[in-house]
Amino acid sequence: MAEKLLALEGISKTFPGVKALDDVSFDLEKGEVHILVGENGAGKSTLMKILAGVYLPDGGRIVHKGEAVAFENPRQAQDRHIAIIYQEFNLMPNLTVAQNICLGREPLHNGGFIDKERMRRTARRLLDFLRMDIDVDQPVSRLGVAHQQLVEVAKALSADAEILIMDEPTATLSEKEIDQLFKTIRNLRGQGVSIIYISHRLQEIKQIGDRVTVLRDGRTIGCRPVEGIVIDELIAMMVGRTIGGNRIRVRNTARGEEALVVEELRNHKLRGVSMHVRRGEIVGLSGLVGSGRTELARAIYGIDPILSGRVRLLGKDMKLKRLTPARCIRTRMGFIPENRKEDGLTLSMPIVQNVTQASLGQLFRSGLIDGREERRLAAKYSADLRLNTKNMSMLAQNLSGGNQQKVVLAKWLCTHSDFLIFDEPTRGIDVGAKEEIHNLIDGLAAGGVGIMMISSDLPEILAMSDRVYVMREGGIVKELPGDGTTQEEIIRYAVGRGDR
Amino acid sequence: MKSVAGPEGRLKRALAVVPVDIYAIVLLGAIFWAACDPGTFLTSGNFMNIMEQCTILAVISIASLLPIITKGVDLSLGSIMSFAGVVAAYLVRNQEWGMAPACLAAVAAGAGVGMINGFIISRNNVAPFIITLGTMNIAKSLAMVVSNSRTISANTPSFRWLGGETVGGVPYSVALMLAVYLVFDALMRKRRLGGYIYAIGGNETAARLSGIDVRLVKFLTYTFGGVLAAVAGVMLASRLGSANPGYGDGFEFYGIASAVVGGASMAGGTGSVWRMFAGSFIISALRNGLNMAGLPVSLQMIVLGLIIVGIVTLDTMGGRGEK
Amino acid sequence: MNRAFLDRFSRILALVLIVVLLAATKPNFLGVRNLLNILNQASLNVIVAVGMTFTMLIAGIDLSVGSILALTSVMAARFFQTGGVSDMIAGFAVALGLGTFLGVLNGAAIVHLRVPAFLVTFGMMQAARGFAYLFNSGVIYNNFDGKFLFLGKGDVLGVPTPVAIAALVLGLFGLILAKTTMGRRVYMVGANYSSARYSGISIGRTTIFAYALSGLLAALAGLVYISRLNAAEAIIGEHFNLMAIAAAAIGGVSFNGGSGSVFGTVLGALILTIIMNGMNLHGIPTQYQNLATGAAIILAVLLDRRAMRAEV
Repeated sequence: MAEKLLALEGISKTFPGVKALDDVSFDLEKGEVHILVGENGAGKSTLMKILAGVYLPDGGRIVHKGEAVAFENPRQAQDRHIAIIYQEFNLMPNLTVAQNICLGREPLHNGGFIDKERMRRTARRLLDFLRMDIDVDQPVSRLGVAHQQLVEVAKALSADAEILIMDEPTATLSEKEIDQLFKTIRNLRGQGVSIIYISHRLQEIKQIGDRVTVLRDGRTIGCRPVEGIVIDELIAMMVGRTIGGNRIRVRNTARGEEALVVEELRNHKLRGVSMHVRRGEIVGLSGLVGSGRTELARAIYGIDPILSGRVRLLGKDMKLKRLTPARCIRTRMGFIPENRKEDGLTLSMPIVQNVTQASLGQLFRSGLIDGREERRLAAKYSADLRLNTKNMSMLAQNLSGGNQQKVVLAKWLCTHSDFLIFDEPTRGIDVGAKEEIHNLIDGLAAGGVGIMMISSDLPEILAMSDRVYVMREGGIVKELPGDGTTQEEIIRYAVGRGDR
Repeated sequence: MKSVAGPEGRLKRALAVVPVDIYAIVLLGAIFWAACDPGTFLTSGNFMNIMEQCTILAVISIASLLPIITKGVDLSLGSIMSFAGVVAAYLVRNQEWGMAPACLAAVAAGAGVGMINGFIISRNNVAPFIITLGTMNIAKSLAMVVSNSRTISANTPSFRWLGGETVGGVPYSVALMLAVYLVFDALMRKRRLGGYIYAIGGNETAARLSGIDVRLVKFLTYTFGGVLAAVAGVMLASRLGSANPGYGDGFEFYGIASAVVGGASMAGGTGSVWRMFAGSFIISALRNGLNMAGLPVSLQMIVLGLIIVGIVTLDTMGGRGEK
Repeated sequence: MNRAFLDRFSRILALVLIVVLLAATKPNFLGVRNLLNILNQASLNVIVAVGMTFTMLIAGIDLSVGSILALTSVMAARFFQTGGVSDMIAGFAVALGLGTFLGVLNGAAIVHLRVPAFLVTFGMMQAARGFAYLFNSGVIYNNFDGKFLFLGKGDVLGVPTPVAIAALVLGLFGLILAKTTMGRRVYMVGANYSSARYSGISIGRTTIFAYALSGLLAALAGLVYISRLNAAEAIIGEHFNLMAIAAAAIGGVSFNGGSGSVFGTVLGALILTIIMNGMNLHGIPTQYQNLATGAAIILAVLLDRRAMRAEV
């Protein structure tokens, strides 16, 4: 067996409240594309950040070219020619393309002045190699997402990367851009660059991968050559159960009154969206990241401004100019945001105060807080959700992801809303808690609450929804029934090939 | 990709908005000034007066700019000015030092305070404005201790060289300011360090992930601030022929105001050295204009307070799309 | 005794240590007169710092309290020279109303103009001081009526009136912060602006409330202050900004918002006053007072960072 270029052996990493990685092993050979798959929260990004020197592992070791190494900071990883392209871009919007590409490695004249001409030439050479024709003197902020990503690739190459890690690079790209990226990846592989490619888009694996490793809940489940692999087998490895075992909810065909009616909604992102949700109905909202799903929810909830259109919420016509979360809550709407640590929770506050946060005015009309009543309510809703903690004064930051999401849910149960938007309700949550959250959403709908559920998890959308809207480029491109729709069908509409 | 879309929008708007605002302010200032007293508006004496006020502010505005680019701020600059001025005057007057070693000692004192700022801010995730509010008081206190809370008069020709003397018709103070501008323009545009300062302001996490020593860069940023403030303090003391622990009061805010008028954004990442001069000139001209117009100091304070808030507002209006 | 315990009670410990140190070195420190004197000195700072605590809890700051104090008190001063009840009421109304109004202006500017709080309140600091000079340049109001002097110089059952007022302010606003929905909103907005917004809490209203309160309390402190001085002029109160910020910082109110309490702030104010008092007793020149205050602010902020890291 040839010597591995890189081997991660028995890596463990614990964050407060979560064991992110547990004895994970992974290896890489020269000139291969090794795909790392797993659900959100499986530990893929953490593993790669360890390899890039962002985190130190708690246990295990990294062997690079037969030598045990420890990266204490990103620089040390870079010095061994390991480059990483993060999910969230790491470019400086205010600097030019050339400055970004050469950042930290600017070519110098004698005397320490930056050799701008050489810097431009380097940038242009790398971009030519990537078959990308852009002005290297313009600020990165003027580039589109796909171009920014290629600039990231060029930046990695400028460091003479021998190992290139790409964290979900296709999440925001169009089909054409993806093709271009894959060409680039094959090209790089041909030059002897080894690539670790993180994805949860299974269809991509066969297109570019040599080997694939599956992570689940911070553990290595297995490593297989791509040739001859069956996608269903991978899915089974990822989710720990076969896809047929997914519980399908009993569809609700009863026609309740309208909980939400949106007509021709327009703003910076939305291009005339019309849709509706009835009480007792679960409506899935699908589409690629950046298609405008979250923006639609934020507009309805009064966070993003609306230019024109009509919103009728629970029978009440909302004044668009004066639409605020407070008004929506008073009309009995709630919103479980996608980013629970930033938008959903106040991490530095105890569970109790998080639970009552959205219903303070409703619960304590006099303005005086009755501490005992508050604790009683928080305990009640937490118990309904089987929140695994006795101590209601524990700070939200010390809870695990699943429990944190339960606190957010308890917050909205506490408001007794009749219409709820869930944005990625189970992202980064373990399978058990996921099931519980699905049951809860199901139960709410059965109790007559109208539900709009945004999710990138197609099986989740299909298992839960009575109807599905597919969004693309700020508009709704298709309405599909929950029954009989396939993942492929949704994806076709989401990428703009619905007519094929 | 919120993080990318935000600054893009801001930059676009800023590019569209900022130059117009600056010229509008210049124009308004000039008209106001001219209207107030047509006789003195363009006299060379008054112009030189503005220039001399401007040189000091121009140096301070660079000291303000560097932390602002990194999304920070330095409130201690005014006190460092006072401290350095007092140190120089004390050494010349009471210890009979030569002007050159006294100036060096004063600059070293300023650098010391700047290094304290830099050390604390670069190693702790704390709000720069509160740390520098603390050092502002420490520096002020040190200035009071050195001067025993009095004005130190050092009205000797050697001490006043910066104020009066000229090289080929150009006052020393202007020449010194030009030197500072040349050095820092080169630093910010042609050296790696300058690029890293902008990079930190653009995206600090990304800068760290790119292997930039963010701590070192921030440390140097505040240290330069201290050095420049000390230079400005010596210039002021030399011009006035005396030093007092209160002379630098308020300069930190005029510095911020000049920086923002000169196109720097409080949101970080932008601002160029030469435009700081424009900003300082506008603020100096405005102050001069208000003075010439015979406005009482009280009204000048009100107007300047409003102007500072006003220009920062214009600046942030461009960034409205962001949180 | 573990780290968390030390961190939590570090302020009380610091206070006790300083008291013990001073009592050991200066026997007259523990005299009733000196202690009452300390409380009396701290009382004004407590009143202002309670308001400052609110602005800092929402992750802001109010640099204008000293100027608001000066402007409101000089504007109201003339009403206190006659001793008439209606004049007295008018004086209070002018000062407190104007203080609240200026605070609202601060808050509204921060919310609607989206300018950093320290710049808005710096602008206000300049402007309010400017107006104080504009309307009262060179004028010193004194010879206040005896009834008004009770506010700053009188006593209630042996307790100096300023101390009693500070205690009332502390109790009332401590209660508002801990027990009302408004107080809760203040914490929520400061701790996580975005989550508060998603939970339907009005950021604007909460912010304006905090700054209005800061303005109101600055004005109240101003009235007590001019009564104690038996004089009012435009120049007074410049050091109040810093003292209030220092008290809150030393008292553990976080500059990132969302954590701290008015009781911590009071501890901070006491520590600060006792340090000053001790410096006086030991004959240390007043020039060093700013140094001590500045160093105390920085130390407190750094210790807080440590404490927070220890918790996470």
